[in-house]
Amino acid sequence: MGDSKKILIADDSRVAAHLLTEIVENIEGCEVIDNAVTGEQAIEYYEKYKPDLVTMDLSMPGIGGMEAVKRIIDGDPSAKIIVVSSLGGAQDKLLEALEAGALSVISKPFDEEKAVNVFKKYLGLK
Amino acid sequence: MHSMIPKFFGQYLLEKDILDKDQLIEAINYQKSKILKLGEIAIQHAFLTEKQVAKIHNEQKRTDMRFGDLSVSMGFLTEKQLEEIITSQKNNHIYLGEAIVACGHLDKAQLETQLNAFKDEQQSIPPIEVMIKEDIPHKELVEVSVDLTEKLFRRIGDMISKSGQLRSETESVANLGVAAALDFRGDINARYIINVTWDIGQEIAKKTFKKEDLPFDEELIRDTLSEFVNVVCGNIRSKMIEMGKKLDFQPPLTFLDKVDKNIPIARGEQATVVPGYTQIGNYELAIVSKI
Repeated sequence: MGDSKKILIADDSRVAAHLLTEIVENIEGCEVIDNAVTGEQAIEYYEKYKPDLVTMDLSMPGIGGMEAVKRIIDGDPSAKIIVVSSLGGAQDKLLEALEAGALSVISKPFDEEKAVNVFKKYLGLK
Repeated sequence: MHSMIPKFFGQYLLEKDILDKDQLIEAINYQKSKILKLGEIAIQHAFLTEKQVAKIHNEQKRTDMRFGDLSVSMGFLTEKQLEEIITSQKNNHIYLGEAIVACGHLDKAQLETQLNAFKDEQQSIPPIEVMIKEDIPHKELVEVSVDLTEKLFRRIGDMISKSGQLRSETESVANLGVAAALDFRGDINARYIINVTWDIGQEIAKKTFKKEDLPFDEELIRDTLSEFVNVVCGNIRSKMIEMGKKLDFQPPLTFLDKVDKNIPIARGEQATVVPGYTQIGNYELAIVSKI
């Protein structure tokens, strides 16, 4: 698995994290390296693992997901972050996340096919 | 696959890879730049002076009231004038599609094709079907909550649910097994509570994890219900924003019957409780707010 793409899941819900892990690990050449459960931990794990992609829940304890997106991008403008949110249907949050540097948004409940397409696209997988 | 949950046109274009995020941000900002603020429109109509607008803005910093409501309560605008400027604001906004064309990211024909495809996808979303006759606090929020809870029971839990006769409670709501609550703050301050039997909780967990033989695990059921509430309330928030109400919320709290036989209602608050029935068992949805 040396060449596999490393994904960090930032989500305080172990249910959502489990579902995302299943989706990610069904994509050939992808593995989940860890699960952060606060905004602060997402930043810490980003530094530690330098993942190829981060999925970021917006409603997390601590500084929350939106702030974590901003700080990760500040530290590494090339960071690939996909926001995962039940707030995705609302234009205000989507715009804020995209302006903060997130690449795209996946809505909850998950549409697996769409989620896979988004992951593949930003990981450069066919 | 058709989505059951509403989304906005921009998200659709992004998901379909028709626009990239920078193009979408540019179009949304262009669209926003074309919306005149209520204060500006009131000045154009000579209903307010610049000084009055500044006073309203100052007052807004101290209260959480909206510009329009505040301008009426401060005696600067009549209800009729407010209605007139709101109508003027609505009539003069531009659609996101127009903004995308104006920014040169799609031409008119491409926009039309995409709009039709988007409408097709959204047509599968039934409109809010719940209508409550009774006069209750935050009726719109209760209607949207009942509607989206039923829809997500169907989508996530594969359960057909039907709502029954609502009632009011002022002290507590009996815990049916496991419950999760989430507080909305903003234009409406209210708590959403979903209170379900363990059977329903287990069913939602089974369907969420796509495992019919999922072992019964109280903690897992609690976490699944908590996530269910996050999803339902995120969708409620989006719907309420569409209806002109700004809301935000914090992560949910949970209550297990072993620990909390009743879900307390704070003094001075009232719960509108809507019972629901599914093929698996019963549940209750409650919206709690100040009387």
